[in-house]
Amino acid sequence: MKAIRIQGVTKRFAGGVTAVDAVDLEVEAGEFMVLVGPSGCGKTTLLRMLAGLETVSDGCILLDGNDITHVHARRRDIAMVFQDYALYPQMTVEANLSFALRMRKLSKEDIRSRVTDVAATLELEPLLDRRPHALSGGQRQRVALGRAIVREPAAFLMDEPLSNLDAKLRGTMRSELARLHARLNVTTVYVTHDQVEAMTLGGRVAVMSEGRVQQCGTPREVYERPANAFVAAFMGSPPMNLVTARIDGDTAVAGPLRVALPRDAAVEETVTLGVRPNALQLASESDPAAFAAVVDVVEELGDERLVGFRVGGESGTDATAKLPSAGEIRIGDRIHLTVVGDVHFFAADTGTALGVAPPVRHAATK
Amino acid sequence: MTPSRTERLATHGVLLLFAALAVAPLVGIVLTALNGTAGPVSGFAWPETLTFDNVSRAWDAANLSSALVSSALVSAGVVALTVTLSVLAGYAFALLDFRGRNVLFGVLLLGFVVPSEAVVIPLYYDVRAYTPFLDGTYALLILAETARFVAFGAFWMRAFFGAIPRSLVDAAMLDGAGPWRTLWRVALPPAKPAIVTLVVIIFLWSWNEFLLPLVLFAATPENVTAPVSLAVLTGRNTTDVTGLAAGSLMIALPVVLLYAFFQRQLIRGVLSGAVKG
Repeated sequence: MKAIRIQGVTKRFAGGVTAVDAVDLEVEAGEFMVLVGPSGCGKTTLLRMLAGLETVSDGCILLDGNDITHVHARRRDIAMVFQDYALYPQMTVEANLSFALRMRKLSKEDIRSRVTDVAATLELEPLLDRRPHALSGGQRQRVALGRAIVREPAAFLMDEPLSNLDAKLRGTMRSELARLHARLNVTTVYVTHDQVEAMTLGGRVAVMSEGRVQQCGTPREVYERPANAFVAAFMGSPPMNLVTARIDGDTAVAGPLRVALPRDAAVEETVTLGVRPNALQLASESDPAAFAAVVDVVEELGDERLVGFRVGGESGTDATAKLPSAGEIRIGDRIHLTVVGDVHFFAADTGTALGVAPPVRHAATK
Repeated sequence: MTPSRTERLATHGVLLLFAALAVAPLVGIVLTALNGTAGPVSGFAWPETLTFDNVSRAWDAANLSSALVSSALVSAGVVALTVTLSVLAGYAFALLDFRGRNVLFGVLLLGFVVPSEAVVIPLYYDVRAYTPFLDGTYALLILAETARFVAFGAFWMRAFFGAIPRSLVDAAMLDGAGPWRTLWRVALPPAKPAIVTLVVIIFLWSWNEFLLPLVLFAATPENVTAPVSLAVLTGRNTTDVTGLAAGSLMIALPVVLLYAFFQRQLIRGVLSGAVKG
């Protein structure tokens, strides 16, 4: 296991499109780093540059201190798991697993022993003589993982490896991946657009947008202290509610909400307020901190429900509260809510985080 | 949705009509080849007497024993060379990044556009001027036909290799395979139907080629290929129609056998080309 250091890496494609823009990132030896972001944010391009499948326009990539920026992909000692698994269709599972070892001219005994070990680890023994078309999605996924593991590489790169699986299998494979990483402890860079995968798998998470890393930290840091409004909205399901507020003295006012400004926050005329859906709670009408909302969407999740409403009247912003499923709430109901979690402040123009205020004590209006 | 009985009948009716249109000329040639009537015959006249004399007469007159060997040698050489070059060129144009790739491919495709009638005479004089040792040899015809067919071959194989998921090639590269091994171990095995189809098409074209062997073997008539050898049955004022038909049947036979042998793969190759290309 080796550390990866990415220094000012930029990728410009012909035509002037900058897919990755001066990214700096350090992945510690044995760490599970997740690159997460929406489609087109540059995460897969960055991963492909790490693999050597894309050239680097600027900057450099170090593996265990050695500059590998211009080292050919087949000499990087990095294994990759592809989104579509990329199993060789004409080869059996065994041949797929041993292909890289045969290319490296390992002895037959070595190859047999490594393939047997990996097949046992991933429970692939009964499938060794099958071809990929005769495997289920989950089995193909395990073969793709096995093909990476059997090489015993310096690092694993994974490009959305679970995205082709159904929801149930994805959950199972996510746990398997986490267990596998805990056992092998190999440096891993994992790309996904699914923030649940990012939160559950990542030792650290790098949130990307428009070719840049917006924030890198532990899943808890990124969730609880987002560096900007983009990270706040992207991480968390459902996303954080963001509303524009005007400054009135030392408070910010957004529709029925009145929130004291955080200390030392440099604010101008308006700010963006962020409240997690689970930071909202049903309250009684008499609660001084409660505000009224008219329900326009109800999504039942079983033990919880997502309740949609609008902040600031008809022309206001859509917001969501994650509430316990007890009781009955219907579209059109008038409910009362209080903010029981942190309120995040972001600059209205740049989206940069300005600070966090404690829960709201008094609503502006009822 | 299951088609109705009327739809099925209509489909079969249309298919039978087209099959009849394709088979009718062949039936005419077979009837003519076996026609024992002396004098001029028409293709669809039912023969009063059946005979195989036309076959033996055409075989001797056109010296088909030698011409068929020539054709086999030339076609085998052309197929081997064209398919090899097409696979390599198709792989490079589809999967390797190199400067000027698109421009080079455009130049290669000019081979589609320029008819052989336009180049055959300059080629004849160029060969006599610059490579006289090739004049009238099998090697010359093989090289000339290969040059003519490789544009299509490269285009055909590029379409197939271009349809291979890019991730497969990337995975092979990360697994330590260079371009040769990636071609040989990863890209080529699934390309078998496309290659078989290319083999049959190029064999057919080479076997039936008339103009190039006619001109390039002008100095060595003993090397002429089968289609050219049939010309002796067509005189200035008379044509041995029944002999010509019998000779044509014998020349067509190897292609028909090749097609029948590879029919399944051929259809798969054509379909994969159609869908993936």
